[in-house]
Amino acid sequence: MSQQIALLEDLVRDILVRLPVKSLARFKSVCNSWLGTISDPDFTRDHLDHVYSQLKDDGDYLNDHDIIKHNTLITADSSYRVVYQERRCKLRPKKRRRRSKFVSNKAYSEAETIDVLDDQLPNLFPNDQPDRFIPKHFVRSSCDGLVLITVHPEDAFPELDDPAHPEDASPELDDYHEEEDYWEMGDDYRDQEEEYLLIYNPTTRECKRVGVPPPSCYYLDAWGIGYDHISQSYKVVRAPPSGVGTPVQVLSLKTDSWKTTTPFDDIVYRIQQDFKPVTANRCPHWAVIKTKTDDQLIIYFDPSEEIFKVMPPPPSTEAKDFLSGPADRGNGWDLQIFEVRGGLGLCMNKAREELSLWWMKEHGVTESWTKLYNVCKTPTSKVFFTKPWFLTKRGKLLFVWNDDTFYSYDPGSHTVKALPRLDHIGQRNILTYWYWTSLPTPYIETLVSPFTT
Amino acid sequence: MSITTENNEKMITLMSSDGEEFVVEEAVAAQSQTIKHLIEDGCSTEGSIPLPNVTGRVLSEVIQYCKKHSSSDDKEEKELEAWDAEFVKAADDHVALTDLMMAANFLDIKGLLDLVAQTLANMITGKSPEEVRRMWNIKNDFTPEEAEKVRKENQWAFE
Repeated sequence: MSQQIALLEDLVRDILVRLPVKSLARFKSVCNSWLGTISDPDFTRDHLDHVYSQLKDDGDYLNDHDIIKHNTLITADSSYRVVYQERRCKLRPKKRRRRSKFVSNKAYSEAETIDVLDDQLPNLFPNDQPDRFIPKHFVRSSCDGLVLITVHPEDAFPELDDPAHPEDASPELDDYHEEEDYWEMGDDYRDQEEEYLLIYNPTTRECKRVGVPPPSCYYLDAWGIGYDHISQSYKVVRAPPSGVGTPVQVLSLKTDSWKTTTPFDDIVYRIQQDFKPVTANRCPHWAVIKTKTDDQLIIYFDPSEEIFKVMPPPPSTEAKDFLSGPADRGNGWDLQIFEVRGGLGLCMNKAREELSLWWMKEHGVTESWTKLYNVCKTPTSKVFFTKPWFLTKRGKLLFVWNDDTFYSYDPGSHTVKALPRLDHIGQRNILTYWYWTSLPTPYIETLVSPFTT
Repeated sequence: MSITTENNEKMITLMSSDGEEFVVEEAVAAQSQTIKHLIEDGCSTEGSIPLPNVTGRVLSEVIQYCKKHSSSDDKEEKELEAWDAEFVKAADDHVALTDLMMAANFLDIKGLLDLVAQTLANMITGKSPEEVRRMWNIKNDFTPEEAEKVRKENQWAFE
């Protein structure tokens, strides 16, 4: 027995790297050696690599029954989660913090609530006026398990008063790091509520706060988070919703310093309806329309070079015809991007009669665009209206239709199936003006800390 | 000692730590990078290859795995996955699996190492630190203060 244990030491790492984060957090208590292994930054990286390799190899990480209504969130197996910004929000009188609720879940039957700043918030928003609600917190993007949330002053956006909760106390959160520096906003900043970011790992519950330099946030700003392989740092980018020469701000999480760049080169664009980027290959991507020509483009932020780049579209006549020229712009849902196994997926919605799905197997390599399949309108289907979400290993496409239900499309049998919903979560129509704020943000479960990058 | 079969397959003799001999096709034995290198270095021409770290019981399991995986290149991936699942199931408990993992590590058989590591990982995912310590006879070397600190920092993982 003792010989076996001595040898096992070498193999512990091989076993631990395959465990979910929750087990690892528990197993820090096994012994000093395990604690050392799990706390090692190299182990964090190896664990992350393993999570990604699982995404690539076991593409079937989403099962139909794991999908719940989008506004709870979705999950899959242990390797994939989605954080959803609950539309309900407790309102407090002016000068007090308004707090939002963030919901994640583990399994269909086991909903877990992770609150960033508060707990047990009652639903103060009747369902009949959801479009009037502008939350104070926006879940913007995620990368390697870190979720980017922007927090805005009480009066940043149209106001809503809350007579229901006059004077309740504001509980502080243990892992909420107040000591972090934030941007000095001038002498009178104390009179205003500050604007800041939270870099949050919902899995380990570590949360870091960073101030935001002026100008004040615009809720439609495009925010993304990505990883710079060269400086080995996570970077946050904030860009205006239309690139017309406005500077872009970049935050390095290694130094907590912002810089302003004009990285757009000659791309003048406007983002389509979806301001939340798709993170693929650890970079944020947006589908945009090039102004003047109306060409549809995919742009992404390269965190190493700190510039925006245009992702080449599939080199096919089909794609070329579709993306260029003033085609049916309709409601701006024509070109959609989504994530396929950690990489980039593209969906061309042709006059809402047919979807053409592509997958870029190797990031940035034009030749690696692979046609997945076409989804044609069937007599039983309505229109394919909204966002494709995931592609399973067997090629099933999961998407949101023009209501708040998830659907799966099976290319083999050419059938569309509505996925079960959890009624007790409550029904809300997402296609309001603010719908995009409530779209789920997928994240993976990692040990990555917002503090040590 | 190398023998050649009717099919012209070169045969290799492997000897376990407890002296058991196994005659296998070279292609099967070469699933192990360690053995492959020994063969390339000419260590197999004289007598059998001794494997001092692997018992006969474990070696026979390893050879089963290597046989299956060297002969099923063009078979369905699914069938192989199902076979792997049965294979680790037959290994029964964590002691046998740990033996197998150590053999896979010594013999440098990546597929087997991954398979067994994943099986052991699945086995301990939901376990408590105490249960894990018992499984591998690991000593709790924390002081009570350290233990409490680590536990407190990760309390959420125990809920």
